[in-house]
Amino acid sequence: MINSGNYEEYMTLLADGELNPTEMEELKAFVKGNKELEQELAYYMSARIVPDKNEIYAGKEDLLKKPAPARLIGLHKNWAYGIAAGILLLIFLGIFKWQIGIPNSKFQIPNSQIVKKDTTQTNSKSKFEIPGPKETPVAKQEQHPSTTPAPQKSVIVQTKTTKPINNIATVEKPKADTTNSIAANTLGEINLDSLMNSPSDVGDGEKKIRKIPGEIDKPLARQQIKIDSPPHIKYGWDRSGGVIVVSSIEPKHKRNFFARLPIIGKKNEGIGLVTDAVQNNISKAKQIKNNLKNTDVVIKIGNKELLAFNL
Amino acid sequence: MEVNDYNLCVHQWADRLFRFARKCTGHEEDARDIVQGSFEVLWQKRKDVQPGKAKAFLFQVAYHQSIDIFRKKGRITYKEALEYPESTGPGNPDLKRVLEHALAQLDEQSRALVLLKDYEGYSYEEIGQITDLNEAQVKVYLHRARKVLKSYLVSVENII
Repeated sequence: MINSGNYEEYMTLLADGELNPTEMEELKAFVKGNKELEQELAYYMSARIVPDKNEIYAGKEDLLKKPAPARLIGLHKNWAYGIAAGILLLIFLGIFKWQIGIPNSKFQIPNSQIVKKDTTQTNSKSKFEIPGPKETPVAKQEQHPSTTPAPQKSVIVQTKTTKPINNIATVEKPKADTTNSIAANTLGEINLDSLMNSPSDVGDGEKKIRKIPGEIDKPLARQQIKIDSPPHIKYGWDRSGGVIVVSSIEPKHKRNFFARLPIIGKKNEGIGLVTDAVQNNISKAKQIKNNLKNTDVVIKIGNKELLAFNL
Repeated sequence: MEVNDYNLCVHQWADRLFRFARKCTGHEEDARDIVQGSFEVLWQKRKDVQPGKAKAFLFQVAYHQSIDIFRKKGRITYKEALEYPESTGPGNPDLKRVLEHALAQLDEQSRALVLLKDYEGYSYEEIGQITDLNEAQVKVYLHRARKVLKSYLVSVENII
């Protein structure tokens, strides 16, 4: 309750803005009708300090702090090496592909490898077509020699990769496990080199393959077979006289360093010339070294010898 | 508080802090030193100060620094140096000049309380946190200061 004893406190609270609306209404009602109190309230309200907003602090820029610079990774040095490595890789790949595209190139894929894909497919088919010994590919050829299609012959003769070996291995595995297997009963192994060197070799591979079914019970006929195929392919015999491929592992050819490089013809010869030149220079350097072995070196100033030594 | 928050505080509160310090000390150079010192303390303790409480922290530091400066130089020195320029602010220029002289009659603590109340509009509780006083003390000191200011205005008007 505002009275004559505490109205100044309410006036200062009003000047401080700490009165609530009801207290403000009470104060107005108390002051209303009393000119002295109205004048006193006006002095309290005038005694508030108003800031001069034109007064500003001039040194703000000095107070500001710069954020820590982001850490830079030294890519400005490494990117050049990266680009150079990428260009070299592209050049290498380009040369390699170009070599593949050139006929008679060392990197050209031989036709036999293209055929090989077909053979692997056919062999893989034959792998799954072996429910019993009578249905092996060899048995089919023996039963119908005249109707055997040409791609199946190439299966036997031209296979060069290791995949057919796996297929053959799957044929050979049952011969140890089951008595129904063909291989266990009929397979005999023969080296093609011995066949090639035998004096009774006549004809080509296809003809001989067609002769085999007719000579089922004549083991001597095995030595008369000549098959025109790579020497690394080994053939075997079954008891019925048929020929099957036993092994087609291609031997690894040892090539020198320059033969492995993706260069051909004249470039290879050019490298040979470079190596010859280097060897000539090395031999000349050796000659100079031998000549210097028995040489005395003397350092003189005027007529005085400062240093003398023998190389 | 990050660097960006700190820089934002500089832009927002540097001018207000400078006005407060200048009214408290009565010297522009002392006020600049107070502002610089307050922001330096804020920067050093930026990890402990939340951005929302940076303003109160700055005024607290400035208040204590202005009190220290005032006590070092003494009241007499302050009164001699308290020569405010001609008012260019809003309102009656004569009233403003009289109020500035009336403000100089107050002790350093009451002056700071009035400035915090009128300049920044802090509540009694907030002023108590800044000046390390309780709310009742703030209320009493401000009441006394208002009465002094009102009395000065009445006396000047009676002279005129």
